[in-house]
Amino acid sequence: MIPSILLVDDESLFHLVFEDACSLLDIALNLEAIDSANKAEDLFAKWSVDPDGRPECVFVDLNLIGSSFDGIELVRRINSLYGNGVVIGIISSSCDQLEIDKAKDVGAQFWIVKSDDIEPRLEAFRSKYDDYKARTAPFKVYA
Amino acid sequence: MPPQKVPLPDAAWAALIVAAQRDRVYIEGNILKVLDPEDSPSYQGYLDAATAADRDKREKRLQVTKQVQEQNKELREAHRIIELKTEKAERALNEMREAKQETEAALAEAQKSREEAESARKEAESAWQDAKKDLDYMQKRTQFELMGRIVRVSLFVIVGVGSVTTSMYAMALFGPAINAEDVNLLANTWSNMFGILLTNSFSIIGTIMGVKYATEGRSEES
Repeated sequence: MIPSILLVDDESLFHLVFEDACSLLDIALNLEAIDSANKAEDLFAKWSVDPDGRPECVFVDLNLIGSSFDGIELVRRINSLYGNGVVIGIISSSCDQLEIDKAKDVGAQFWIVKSDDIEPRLEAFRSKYDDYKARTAPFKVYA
Repeated sequence: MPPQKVPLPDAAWAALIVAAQRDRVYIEGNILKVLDPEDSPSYQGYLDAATAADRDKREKRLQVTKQVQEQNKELREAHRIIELKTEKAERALNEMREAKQETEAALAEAQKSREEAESARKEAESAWQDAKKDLDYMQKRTQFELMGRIVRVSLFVIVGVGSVTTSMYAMALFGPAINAEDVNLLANTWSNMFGILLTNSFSIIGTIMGVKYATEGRSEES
């Protein structure tokens, strides 16, 4: 079980889906969901000073409406500015290879494709979580 | 890493079990995953029942949320289509407005051209009237000059013929001796000539006056 997860997604309905799916699959105990890349950056800026409350795993949506930058840029900033200490990846309904390559380049460890049937993908991700945490798992697209 | 378990006092367990039996109310959420039932089968039974109820609720909620999410997607798609159509309609409206403005501008331009053409027509008409007046004036002037010349020539002819005839008659009367028959002939000739000249001169004047009045009447008609 992952101790703490942060979900960054502008769609609040997906917050509920993700929360319920994680609970049913016993993926996480502590799940926080926010809707903006800017809020996430502020949180990581705070956690870079005081790591108390810092999540262990971060799921970032690709397109964050209402934010000043997209999910790939958020992954880049979290990895380069605030320390590469979290398991981080993209969760998006898109599976555009160009975007996937960009995400990989900025240090995303996985790409989960959102759909109605997201539970099996989350379960597959969970089974590899220890390898992601140890940074031994290769980048993978869960589609 | 498994989560650290949280033990509860027996009194708390007992209260939870009573609430479950009496009101079918269970605690729910992730707290169920960290509660430690220790070795008590009744506590474990409560946790299992609560976890099952929680799972049941979450499954139902997940399905509903997914349905709502799907409907939301459809609504957003419909909204996007409506926005596209609205945008298209607005674009068409703007194009129509622009076309109307262009038509109005063309109409104004045409009106301006028409006014200019009207003004040019009036100027041309005025110039034509001026030219006509000038031509009329020239014609009248030419006519008057011609008439003056005719009158002058006629007067010269009349006066000349009259003078010559009169001189000849005077010479016949008061000059060296001449045959009386010749004098008589000259007297008749002078008298006849003078009468013819006077008649002709009045005829010429009458003809000129007639031509003048006829010309004036025609120019007034045109």
